[in-house]
Amino acid sequence: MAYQPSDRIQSTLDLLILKTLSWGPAHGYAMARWIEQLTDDVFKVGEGTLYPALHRLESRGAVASEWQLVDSGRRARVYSLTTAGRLQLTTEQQTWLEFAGAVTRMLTRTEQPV
Amino acid sequence: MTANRSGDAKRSPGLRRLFSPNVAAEVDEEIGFHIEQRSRELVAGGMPEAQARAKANQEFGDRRVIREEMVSIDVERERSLNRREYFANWRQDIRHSSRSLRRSPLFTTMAIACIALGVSVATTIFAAINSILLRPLPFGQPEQLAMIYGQVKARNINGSNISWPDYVSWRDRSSSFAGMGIWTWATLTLSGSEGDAERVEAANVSANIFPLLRVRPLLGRSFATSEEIEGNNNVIILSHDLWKRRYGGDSSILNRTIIVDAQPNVVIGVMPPQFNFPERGQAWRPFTVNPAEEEHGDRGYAAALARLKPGVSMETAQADLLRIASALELEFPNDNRGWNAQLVDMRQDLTGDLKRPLLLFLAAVGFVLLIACANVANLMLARAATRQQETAVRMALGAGRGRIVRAVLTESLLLSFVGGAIGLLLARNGLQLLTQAFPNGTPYFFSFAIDIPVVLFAVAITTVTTLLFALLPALGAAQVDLQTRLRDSSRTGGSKARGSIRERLVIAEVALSAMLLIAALLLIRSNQALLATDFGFDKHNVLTAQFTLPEPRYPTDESRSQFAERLLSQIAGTPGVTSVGTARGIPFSGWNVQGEMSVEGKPGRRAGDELVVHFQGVSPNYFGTLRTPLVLGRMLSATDRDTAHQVAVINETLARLEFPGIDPIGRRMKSGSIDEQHPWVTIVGVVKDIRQYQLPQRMGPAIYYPQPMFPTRTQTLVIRTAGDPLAFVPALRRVMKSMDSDVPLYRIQSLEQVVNRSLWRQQLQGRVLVIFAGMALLLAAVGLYGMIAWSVTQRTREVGIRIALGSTGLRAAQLVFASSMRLTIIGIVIGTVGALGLSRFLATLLYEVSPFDAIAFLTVPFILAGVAVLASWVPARRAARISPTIAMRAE
Repeated sequence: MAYQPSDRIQSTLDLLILKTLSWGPAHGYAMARWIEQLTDDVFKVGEGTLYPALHRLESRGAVASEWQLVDSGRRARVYSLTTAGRLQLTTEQQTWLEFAGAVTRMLTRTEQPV
Repeated sequence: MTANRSGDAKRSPGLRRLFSPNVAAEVDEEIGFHIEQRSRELVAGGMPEAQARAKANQEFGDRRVIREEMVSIDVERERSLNRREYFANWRQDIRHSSRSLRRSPLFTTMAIACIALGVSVATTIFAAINSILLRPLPFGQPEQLAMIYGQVKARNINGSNISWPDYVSWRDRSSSFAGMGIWTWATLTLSGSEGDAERVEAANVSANIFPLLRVRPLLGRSFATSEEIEGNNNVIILSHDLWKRRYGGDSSILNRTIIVDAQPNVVIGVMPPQFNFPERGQAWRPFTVNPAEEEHGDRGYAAALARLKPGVSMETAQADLLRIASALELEFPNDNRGWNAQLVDMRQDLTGDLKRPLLLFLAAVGFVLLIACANVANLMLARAATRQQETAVRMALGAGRGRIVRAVLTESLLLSFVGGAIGLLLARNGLQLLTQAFPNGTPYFFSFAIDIPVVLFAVAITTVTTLLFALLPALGAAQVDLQTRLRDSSRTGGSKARGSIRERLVIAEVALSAMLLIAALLLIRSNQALLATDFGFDKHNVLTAQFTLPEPRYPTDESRSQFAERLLSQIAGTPGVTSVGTARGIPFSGWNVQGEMSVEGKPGRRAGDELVVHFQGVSPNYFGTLRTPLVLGRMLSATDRDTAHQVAVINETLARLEFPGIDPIGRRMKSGSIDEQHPWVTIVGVVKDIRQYQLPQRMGPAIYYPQPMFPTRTQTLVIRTAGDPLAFVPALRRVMKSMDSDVPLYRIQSLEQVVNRSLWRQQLQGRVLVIFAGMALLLAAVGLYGMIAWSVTQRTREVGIRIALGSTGLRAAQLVFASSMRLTIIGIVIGTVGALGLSRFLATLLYEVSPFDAIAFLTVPFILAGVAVLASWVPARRAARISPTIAMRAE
């Protein structure tokens, strides 16, 4: 699967969400914090866009959600990866790495190919 | 502790939570949690509360847009989940239902058979109605087409032949018609090298007839106006069927000369497939007359065909014709007094009397369908009763009432789908059967076929019946009381309420059957009476044929009667002929001429109360040939030609009306009123009544004059032959040709054909009703059997206890009989009362049978009671053999 430029942000976000959830169930807020930290604030879309992405993934069956009580005593919607989501993560991660590798090779090349 | 909300969707029943109210709230809660967490974190980092909240909001982005996007994603998700669940449930229901139906093959077969029977008869009749009354006729803009006939309202003469001058007057003086043509019947003999000589029904048509119908020839052309002139008219157009059959569909037929009535005729055209005119015409020749010979009173041609101008209504056109006819009455009082021009819409003309029997059949079908529905409903109720425990278990396991109702509905739908499909297939056979009821095959404009409207009707009727028979059981099933059902198991059998619904259904079924059977029996008896009518003549082995003497060659009465006498003696001398006679108009030919008469010695009658008598001239041996018995006096003889002392024979009705208890022989009558100067005619004999008109019209008074007094140009021969009368046709043609080859013979048919053609509609009615009555009886029997067998099963335990307590098997059987007879008798009483109310509407359709005919009203209850006894026989025997020990253990 090749990335179309217009899809890229959305797909990248999906991929990051799936990756985040591969460590275990989490609510949206926690995921937003982790993504910010781990991408060194590079990936700075409005935090809110995370939620439609999550719900869309849920519609497609990649993640599941349930309401749980968290430490503060409030209810939080906690997401977890489904089997289908795990599979999606594996394949998309592979595609992304190949894609990123190819783009990197191209961009770091100093000489014009013969 | 977890609150599992998202799982709710999976359990929520079907459509009820199509749009979850929780979606928006949950989205708000999720977003709220996020903002709160963030601002709390910021506050913990030392930011003032208000600032922290603002920053959190700002970091989140456009909350409104995001919220909306989330809600719409979630709503869509809910919907698709619900949809999937809904279909999954249906699939499950269908699987479950078909499995459970297969497990009770007797129930399934009976239910499907009832539905198939009901749907097939309804569809058959609808297909007939569709093709006869609904589908457009195969002409261009058929609603503008009409036939015009002669009519004398005062004497109830309708659809009479017309004369050429009348036609010309109507055509030229009217303003309502885009065009008008004339046609008349013909029977042509085709001979030549193509095959054996054969007669075909045909018509002579004016050149504009086919253009008026907007039907173009497939090959060649229509007639030209120039061909309407004697001498130019040796051209013929063939029907597609005749062309294929006799001439091998060879297109080189055009311009070929073929032999028609021994004359060379050039084939100028072939009409398209499926076209005939009139009903069964297969070939056409130009209509020719010599206008100088034709008078207004010579009403010898079939009819005029007219196309209305666009926008002109039938009523306007009829008024237009009436105006012309009234003028003609004044201009030609002798020929036209009382005569009107009757405009008949083309469909009405072609379908004629079929409309009434068809609507009658439709009503009968309604009854059959209702009985079938009651039957299936009954079977379903019985089934629901035996499955109450299963239903209760399912409900206890969480199946909602909706789901239970749906399961019953699914079962009904499955049954009706299969039953409906079988019914539709059977309707094809039904149509074939109906087609066979037509004496010469169905005419071309009724093509009986299962087309799209018919299939749609079958689907609609199946759906409606499903709703009718499934509603009660479905609602009943949902009302199962969980507690009692589970506790009591099914020991007490069906609840009291359900039992009484079923009893009422059986009563309704018996009542409907009784009504239908009584109505059918009345009509069947009427049909029998019709067929058993004493026509007053023997229709077997008689050939009939009309001939018309050309005016210029036979100008005088003398010349005409000489010709007739010579012709009769020639025919009588031909081998194979037993007897021969002529009359102006034979029975069932449509001949219906009546005039006022007076009896000598009786006072004149008041206007409007005249003695109106059917009259015509007949040859001496006419009655002998028809085998009409003489009642009094003598028959006419060849010597009755004294114009000064005229004699006549009257029929029994005239004798009874005018000479009650008096010997009419030797009495005198005259035409016109008592004061008119007509010669007296002496009555020499009385013959039995001949049924002259289409049944059920009765024969009135009639007088028959000797031929020499009434030597009309057109006469009809009646020839009694030793063998097949139609085999005599070639010999007859030879005789006629040897006498005068210019005298045409036409409308050649056996007397039996003449009679049967007049009766077939009534016969059709009788046959179809026998089938319906049989079906109603069968359905009622099945219904009774189902009900009684079920109640015996339900009462096994009760009967067992009774037997254990000393009752006998015989008593048990009596109990079963008693309960079934109770329902039957109530049903019969209601049905008979209903039939009494209904039979008033049948009165007009009945012939010589009273609408309160004792035989019909007494026979049906006995038949139904007999059927009830038979239907209870097996269950009663089962009840008698119930063993108490097994019964107690049974449940």
